[in-house]
Amino acid sequence: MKQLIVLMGVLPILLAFLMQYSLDQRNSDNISRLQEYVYQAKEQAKQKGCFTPEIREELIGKIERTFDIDEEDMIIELEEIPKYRTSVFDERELIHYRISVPIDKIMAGNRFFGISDEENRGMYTIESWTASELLRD
Amino acid sequence: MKVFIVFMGLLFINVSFLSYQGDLGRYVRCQAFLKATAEECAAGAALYYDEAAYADGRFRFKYEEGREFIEHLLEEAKQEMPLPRDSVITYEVSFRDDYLGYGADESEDGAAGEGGEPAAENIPSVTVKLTAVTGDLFRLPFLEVTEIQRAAKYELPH
Repeated sequence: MKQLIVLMGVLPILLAFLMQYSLDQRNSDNISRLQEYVYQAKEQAKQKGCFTPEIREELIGKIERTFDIDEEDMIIELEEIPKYRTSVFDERELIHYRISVPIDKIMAGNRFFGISDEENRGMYTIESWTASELLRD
Repeated sequence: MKVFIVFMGLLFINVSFLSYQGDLGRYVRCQAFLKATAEECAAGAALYYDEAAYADGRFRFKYEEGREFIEHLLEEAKQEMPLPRDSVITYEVSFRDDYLGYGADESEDGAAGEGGEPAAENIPSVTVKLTAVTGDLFRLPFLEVTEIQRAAKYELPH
């Protein structure tokens, strides 16, 4: 009986580890997919000179489906003014992009450890610049 | 007491695995970040070429413009990198064109680089190798990774 009581005490602690492994795996998988989506959008933007509404919509749609979130939950800054390829380096002609998506659950069983849902969330951000390959007419 | 000792053993193993899994995930993300940045540097630096030389039928990159682009990109990339803030990222760039040749992996100053790749076709290319020196990425005492290196090569299409 004594051992059963001890088991009932330690079981939730050990279960939290199992849940954390699964959660880490899911978050890591989502981040990898986000990197892939941003990479694809960036490659398209290089050719078009900026993130056109079509590229933007496609990117947002993919993120919404993968993360099960709405556009309002993301912070998205995409260059919408066409940039052009230059023969000398000019930072004004680079395409900037910054995408932040929420990671809702970082730690499994957070309430069990006294961590609120608000404290248990964060944003994952990808920000970079790319050179435009669009030529001026 | 026996149950407690077994529990402590399980707890220790679980904490170690969890720590390893988290650190490994970050390590993989750092590698992906460096690879993507190296690709971006190489692709961007390859955009700048000497138009006058090209008009004469010879291809030559603008080495200084390429370097300027790489340095700017690395400076900006540091703002949101998965690596620790105090990490130092350095780069090596090697250009292959009609002026520097297409033989071994020659760098801008003409010195042969590592790898000793066989002579390629006459395809102009830019290779960028990034090295990030950082604090130990793994919290477990028996694992130590303080340097990540990734390279990317951009070949111009025929």
